[in-house]
This record gives sequence, structure tokens and C-alpha cells, in this order.
Amino acid sequence: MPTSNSSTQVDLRLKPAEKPKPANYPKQDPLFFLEPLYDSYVAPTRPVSISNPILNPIIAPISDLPPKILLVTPTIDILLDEQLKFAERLKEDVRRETEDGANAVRREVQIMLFEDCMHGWLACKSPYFSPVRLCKGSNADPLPLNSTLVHD
Amino acid sequence: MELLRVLRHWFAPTIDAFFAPALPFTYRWRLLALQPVVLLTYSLKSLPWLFSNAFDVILIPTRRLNQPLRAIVFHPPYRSSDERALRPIHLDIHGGGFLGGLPEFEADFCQRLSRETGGVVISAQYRYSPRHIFPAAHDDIEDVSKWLVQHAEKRWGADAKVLTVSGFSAGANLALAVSQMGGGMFKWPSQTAVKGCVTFCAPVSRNSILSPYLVGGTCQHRTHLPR
Repeated sequence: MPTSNSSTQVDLRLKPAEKPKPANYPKQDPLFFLEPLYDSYVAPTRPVSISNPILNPIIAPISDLPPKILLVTPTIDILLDEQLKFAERLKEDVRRETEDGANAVRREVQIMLFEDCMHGWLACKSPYFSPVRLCKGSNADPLPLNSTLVHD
Repeated sequence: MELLRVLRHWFAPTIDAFFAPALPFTYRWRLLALQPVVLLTYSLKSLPWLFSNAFDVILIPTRRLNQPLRAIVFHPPYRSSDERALRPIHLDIHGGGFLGGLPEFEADFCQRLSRETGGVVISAQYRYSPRHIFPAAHDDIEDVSKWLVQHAEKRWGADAKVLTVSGFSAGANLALAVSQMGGGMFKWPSQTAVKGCVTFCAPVSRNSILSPYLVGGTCQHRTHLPR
């Protein structure tokens, strides 16, 4: 796999509960009792599936991915770290000439960060329920970003 | 028949908690705890569309006989100035932590996308865990994608060569998988390659989602989709 580096490999071995958390990540999840279920799709196949790029796009070769990718990412999300790494890796791959000619097609990768937004925030339109307020109390050190489109 | 299908899906956590074969007990009682969350979110997301004619409902056949997947289709508004013969086609994959969900979850997004781009937008269902484990959901999305490419022109006057995908959360993981599946037909240089992919909150490493308020979510700034 020409595209994966050591840091993403380490990342893949982490259990869900061990994923790096953003600084202002909430301490308590009201749906904590569902946590094992989030892992249930892949847990029974884990020893094999851990190295499967279909399941882990972070190790997919750039030639297998669409030429244009936009990652829309809230910053209060357990998935922030892996998406930043993924975007960084893809941008590197796009800049680099690969032997398989994957970059003969014009490729573009962008990540768009939304500060103070949580996982699935676009799906919730209620102005009355704002879990973000709950985590404001924590020692928040929000990234200096606000709806930022990060170009390469 | 349709009512049965809806009941089976809306009460899937309870049904699976009792009747799914070979599930560990730790999943079974958690499924029961998930049931009220499922009923609440499904209601909030689908009832506003109950009397709407914004989309068509179709059943997409898969490799499993007589077990089609439900999908909703958004047609772009007709524009007399539009001289393009064939429309772009877009597949959206809803989120739900691989545990459940409805194509209606992102109906707002799909409707807006269809209106603003003039493309045909399809949001499809897939099979959910813990009853169906990897690669069930991926297989379903592969089947859906293939079916869309085959039927795009005939059914909707859409161009399979202008195929894009998007996904939310667990659906975003599936969206990034489309180009890797189908034996190369969805990746460059195939004609029917996925031309672009937009993901929202994508799990890209070991697809397990561990996130608070998975079904709640919020946006302090009421930020909407980038223009």
C-alpha cells in the first residue's frame, strides 16, 4: 500500500473508545448505552476488516477514490482527527505523481471545517435543543476556524 | 404489504432484539433501548414528508432475490430553457451509525440538491447492523449503484456518466466505498466512474462511530450547506 503511513496504521488499530478526542469534546454522552452498537457492524469481522480499504477509506489508494472529494467536517466530532489525516494524506497523494497514473485525471480534495458543530448537526433543525451548550462548560479550546474551506 | 414493510423497519430494533439469530446479549438489550430513539427520529424525519409529493418511492432489486431496497427519487424541476438532453445523477446515502435510518433522513438536502443542480437525486436504504454485519450494507450500496447506472437513462433521462455520490455519517463511509466496489466500474477511467463525492461527518478509519448525540446533532450557527 504505497499511500498509508505509520500514523494511519496506528490509528486503525485503535478501539472506538480510544480514538483521539477534540479539545472541546463533551464529557458525557446521553446515549452512552448505545456505544457497543456503533461498533456492531464491523466488530465481528474486525481482524480481517481492519485492513480492508472499502471499510477504511483512509488506506484506500487514491486511484480507487473519486477524482473530486469534499469532506464536510464539524470540529466537535470524534471523527475529526481521522478526517484531517485522511484529507492531508489525499492532498499529498494528489500532489505526487504515482506509478499507476492515477493522477492523469484532474483530482481535487477539500475539507471544510465547521467550528462548534457536532456530529450530524446538519440533520437537526431544532433551535430549542442545542447540545453544544453542554460542552461549552468544558475547557474548550476551539480551533481558530469557522466554516473554513481549507485549500491545499 | 407496504405497511408491513414499514412496521418491520420501524420496529426492527425490537424485532431483532428478540428474534435475530446469534446476537450477543449485550446487543439485544441495547437494541431495546434504541427502539424509542428510532421511533422518535424516524417520526421527526419522515412525518413532515407524509403528504408531500417531493419524491417518488421505488424499490431497487438487489442480488438477494425478492428483497428489494426502498429508495426515494427527487426529480429536478422542469426548465424549458434547459437544453441538456440527459441530467446528472446523484446517489445520497443516509446516516444512522449503520444501525438504521430512513432515506428521508436527508430529504431536505436531496431536494435542494436536485432543485439547484437539475440532477436526479436518489436516496437509498441498505441493511443495518447488528443483524447484518459487514459487508451487508456495502453490498447493498454496490447493488444500488449498479442498478442506478443501468437504469438512469431509461427511467429518468439521466446520464450514468455524470454520477456523483454523497453520504452522511455512516452513509459517508459507504459513499467513499462506492468507487472501490463494482469491479472498477465506478472508478476512473471507467465511463461510469463516480465523478465526485461529498461526505458529511465521515468515518474514514475502521467504520465504527462513537459520537455523542448521534441522532440529535445541532448547529449553533445554523450553518447550512456550502453554496
